[in-house]
Amino acid sequence: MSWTVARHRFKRDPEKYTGVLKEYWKKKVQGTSMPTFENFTPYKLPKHERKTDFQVGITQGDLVYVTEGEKKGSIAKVYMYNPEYNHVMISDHTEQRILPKSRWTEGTTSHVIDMPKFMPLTSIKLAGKDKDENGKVSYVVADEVILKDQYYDDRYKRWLPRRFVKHHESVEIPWPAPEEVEDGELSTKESAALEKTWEFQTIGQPPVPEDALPELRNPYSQYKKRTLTALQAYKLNYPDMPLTKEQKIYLAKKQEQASAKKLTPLSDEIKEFIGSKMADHINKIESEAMLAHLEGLSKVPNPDFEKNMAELQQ
Amino acid sequence: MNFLGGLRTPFSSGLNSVQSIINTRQLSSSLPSLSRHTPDKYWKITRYVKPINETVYEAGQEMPCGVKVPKERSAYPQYEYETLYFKRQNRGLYGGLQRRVTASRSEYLNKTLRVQLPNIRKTKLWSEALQKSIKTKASTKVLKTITREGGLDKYLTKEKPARVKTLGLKGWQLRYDVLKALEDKELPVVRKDDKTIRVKYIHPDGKQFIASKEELLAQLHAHVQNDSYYPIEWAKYQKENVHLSFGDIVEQLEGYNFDFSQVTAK
Repeated sequence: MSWTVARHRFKRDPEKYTGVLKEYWKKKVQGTSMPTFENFTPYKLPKHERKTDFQVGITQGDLVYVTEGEKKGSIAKVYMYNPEYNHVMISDHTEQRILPKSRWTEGTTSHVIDMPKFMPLTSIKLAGKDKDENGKVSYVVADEVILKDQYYDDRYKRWLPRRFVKHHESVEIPWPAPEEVEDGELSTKESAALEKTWEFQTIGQPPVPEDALPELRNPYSQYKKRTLTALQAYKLNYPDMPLTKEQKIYLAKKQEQASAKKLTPLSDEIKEFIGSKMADHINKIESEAMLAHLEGLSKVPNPDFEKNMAELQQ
Repeated sequence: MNFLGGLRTPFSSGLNSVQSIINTRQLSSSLPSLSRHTPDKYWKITRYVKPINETVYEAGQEMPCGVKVPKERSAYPQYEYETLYFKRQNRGLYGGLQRRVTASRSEYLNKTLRVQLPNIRKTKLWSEALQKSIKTKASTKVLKTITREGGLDKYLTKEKPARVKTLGLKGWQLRYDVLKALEDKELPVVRKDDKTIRVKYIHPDGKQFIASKEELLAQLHAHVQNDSYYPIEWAKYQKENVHLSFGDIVEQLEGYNFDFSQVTAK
């Protein structure tokens, strides 16, 4: 065990705590601080349970209907989704906190600040905005949403699932438009980045020179399928123990016997004799189970028999 | 456990049924008392051996998972009965003898565990095939067996399963050396330039090579070097072509129209 591994193994990891110990640890961390100084410490989701905003169905810019808390019954906008805590940050949902002067940042003028509050997904519902012909705005609040199919969203430049209201799958709630990013001084224009300046000329001539391939691909990749070279196979194999004189004589004799042994097809007389013997025996059997068993046994392929028959035919 | 053995009248009418049962029971191999007791003399060796890997790797096959290619090929074939206890028996000719644990008894019959080691001597044993004496440790029992067999070579090359099991690792390696030497000795001796030389290799087309494999590889290296723009170091070339057999080298030299008259007898 390396020191790096050892350090991690014996380190305290509160995320691994469960049950009572988890509660106890949370209280211990909170200490005796006043509620205004309390930290935002909801339980983190385990890594394998975390999902992205598009997998959950709520993303930045969505409208939500608040079902719990002070702002119950209002419509708010989602600022961000936090996959670590499975919480969302929504507009107009803040709490006043006291900030010690040591933690002030540039522009802070007061000890009391408005901190955005995270809300669990259980206390919000996704809302879709709708405008009718007269310009009257109405909202559709989805108790649950389901994600189906896939389409290429040009605004996000990626494939996204479609979002529907559960049990009312004709009602689609489209994804909101992403926030526009303003171009800076050094940014490249989209048109310039997407302009195609080069393309294949022929399939006969490879697009990249062969010598440049190892620079583009990793020749030492662990995912690359490799084959054994003759030298490697030689090194992996062990030498054979030479045969002794007696062994050589024995093998030669055996080979001689094998070549001398020849199979000849059975004559009709013998076939009839064997057939009658077998028929006599089978006719004596009364048990149906035994007959069924023999029937099944006769259908089992016998490699020795097939080998002999093949030899005979040759 | 022949409990009917003492019966004077086995065919008496009253006991016929019992006798028939006994007779049928005798056919059953599950009856331990009636089966032959065949103790395995070398059970301790065969029970504790580590299974060997008998996979044969071939060029072009997919790189096996979890297998490390060694720097050099093993000099000796794998030994199936290499023991993992009392390891000194792998370093000499012990003849399957291990240390035994017994108890010494005092006047008051107290038992104290002690060990008995086999009687081991340091000896030099002459090998006729290798034409040299081999300095090794050997048990007196093995020395007696060697005398009885008529020499070290005969002791090592006997192919009875019991001998193979009791040879030990050292014995197995010596066996390989001896058999290789015997194999080489089977090749004919020829005269060339008033010298008697043993042939090193006979090619399928009948050419009898008196040059060694290394000398022939050096010839091939010269040709390959001639074709190459860049220098090819001999040591490196040799290392990368150890896997070439004598026949492979000859075939490659034939491609260069090599004159074999210097390196062959015929």
